[in-house]
Amino acid sequence: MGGYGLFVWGAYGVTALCMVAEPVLAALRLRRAAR
Amino acid sequence: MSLFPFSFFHYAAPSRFYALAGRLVPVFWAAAIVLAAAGLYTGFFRAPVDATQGDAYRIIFIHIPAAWMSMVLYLAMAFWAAIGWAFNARLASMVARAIAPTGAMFTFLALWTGALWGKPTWGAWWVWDARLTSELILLFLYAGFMAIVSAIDEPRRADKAGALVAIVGSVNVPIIYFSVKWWNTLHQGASISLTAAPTMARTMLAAMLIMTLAFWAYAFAVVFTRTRAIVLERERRAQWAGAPARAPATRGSVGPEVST
Repeated sequence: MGGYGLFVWGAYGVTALCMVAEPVLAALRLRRAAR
Repeated sequence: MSLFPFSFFHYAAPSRFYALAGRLVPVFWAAAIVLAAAGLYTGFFRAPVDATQGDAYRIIFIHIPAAWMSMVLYLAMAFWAAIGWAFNARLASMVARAIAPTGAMFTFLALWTGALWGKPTWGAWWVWDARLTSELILLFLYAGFMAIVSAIDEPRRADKAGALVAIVGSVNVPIIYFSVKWWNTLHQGASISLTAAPTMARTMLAAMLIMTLAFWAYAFAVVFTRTRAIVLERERRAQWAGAPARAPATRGSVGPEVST
């Protein structure tokens, strides 16, 4: 990344983390509500 | 005879929307994954290195879609909250509540990715520039909406209070959008305009637009999932939601708890 790896992967990494965690939490909430 | 084969309000019933959303969520997930794969491939393997920013500019493929989604979702949240308040439509209020966490997440991502882009290009993680400050205020507005609907026990009162916050806060969205025009800001102006040619290379623009569509499909998938959860939580006493048949309450017995 031409010396910008920390910034680029830091941005993509946190984005990926949030966009995995959020649907998991939503699915867990749905499962709890369905019980 | 109606001109339309179905009623626009057919899915205003929580039970019908619950079933419809359940069928649509997998479709949105498939679209989100395919579009994200295409967007990331285009952004990392087809788009060239920027002449001035080098590879740091590739943050644009998540920063701008996240920023756009943060604003669009706020307006959608305010719209559905207003509909819920004006027409006493409880599904509309449920949808507004479902949108808020996703909108807040995109706002956080816009700020986070913006900071990581700003450090190598501007030399600063943060500046109190009009665009950045108004986007931060948007995050506070989302937090305020979620706090107020959680703080009030009675659901319909909570919906109305939340709707007031959402509607009043929606004035911030055009402020965010036009801030780069109205004030002398460090943040660059719009790269894409309805009235002028884009200022970026075609492959960069294509990757950014594909990623925007991916984020949009993702938002639909997550918001619909959360709406289904909220529908079940608030409609748990309804028979369609699987509530057991209850014997009528006798004199002196404790009544059912109010659901929240």
